[in-house]
Amino acid sequence: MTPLTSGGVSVGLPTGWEGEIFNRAPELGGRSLGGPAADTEIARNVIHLANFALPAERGDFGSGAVELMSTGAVLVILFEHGPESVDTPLFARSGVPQLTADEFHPQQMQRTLSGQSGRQVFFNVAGRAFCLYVVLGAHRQREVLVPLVNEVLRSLEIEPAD
Amino acid sequence: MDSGVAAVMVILVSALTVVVLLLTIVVLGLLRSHGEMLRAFNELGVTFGHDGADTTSALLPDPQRKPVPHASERVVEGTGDGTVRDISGTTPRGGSLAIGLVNRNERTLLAFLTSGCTTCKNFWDAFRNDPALPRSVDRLVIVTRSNDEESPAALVNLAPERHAVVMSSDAWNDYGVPVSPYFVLVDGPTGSIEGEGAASTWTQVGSLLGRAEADVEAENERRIDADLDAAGITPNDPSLYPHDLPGVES
Repeated sequence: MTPLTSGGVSVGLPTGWEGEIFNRAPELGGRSLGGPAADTEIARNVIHLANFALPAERGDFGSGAVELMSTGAVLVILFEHGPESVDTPLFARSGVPQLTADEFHPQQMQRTLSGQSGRQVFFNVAGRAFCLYVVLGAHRQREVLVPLVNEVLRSLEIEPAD
Repeated sequence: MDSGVAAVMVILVSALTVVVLLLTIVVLGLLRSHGEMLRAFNELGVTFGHDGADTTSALLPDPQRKPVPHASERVVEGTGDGTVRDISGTTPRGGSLAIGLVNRNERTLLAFLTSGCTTCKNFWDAFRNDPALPRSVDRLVIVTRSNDEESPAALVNLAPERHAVVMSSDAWNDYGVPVSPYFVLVDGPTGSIEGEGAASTWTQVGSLLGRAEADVEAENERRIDADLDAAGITPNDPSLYPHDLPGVES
């Protein structure tokens, strides 16, 4: 497992996986591409994990990367929201989720791409609010790909907010 | 000649002798400095051949991996064990970054650079201009030492936008990087190091990769010929020209 740790988030990546944890705060030169239009709050951390080569230039929600995904590719994105979100109904789900193949649907993509499917889940853990967004390179391969996602999610450790 | 003129001549000759001695000392100092510079270049893997072109060690195909020396080259060999490992480190902006190399479909060129070395500046400049990658390379990843040995602030200014920069001294140790700049070509599907070596310009890296690719193709051809020979199939063997196959005209 390749360790990836920053901002109170750590994850162990299986062999061949890659990822990045970065802060998107403008003063730190973070990324500003993509993302949901309604999200105007300042996020804390953005975590991108993938079993394919992530391009250096990509949006918070994977624009620039999803277009490169082959059928066996998986992209896992964790987008942290501010502390004001923790107690809101949207983030009521507690703990890092585990996903099932049935939850994935092509219409859950930020931007629909032929053959791909996605899943978006909001949750809180350790007093921090996250949006989990997962993209599968091929919807028809979801039974094989979702277990890979869950393996990575199981290794996710999130420390309490400062 | 009166004694006055003789005295002046003695003074002039003495003065000239002193000047010559001083110039000799200066020239000796320059020669020594020049020698030290050449030695430093040698340690960086750059030598100056008879044709005036600076040359470096070659990127070579697996399984040899040892650079083939040219007549005017001083070979720089990596000290890694040849094992491909994923890379984990930080980014110049303080994030965390992991690069997957094992069991992948891509061929990745790892460029080991520092923010301080003069030769590395050529590459930082070239990479910021997003040069076309050689045909045999799918992506470029720049690897610097970790932030306890490297300046993140300097790297922020040097880093190209379109290529990943990961700060990892562990990667330098894992891949046995002897000098900077140094390049390692990783073949993801086979999980092997296809070639490695030092170079002083991006153009030179391209030609070295082309040479490595040609070597791989030549090696494949030799291996296929050897396999056919071992099976008793020689050039012009009838079985190589299956005229009796349906749809094949004789």
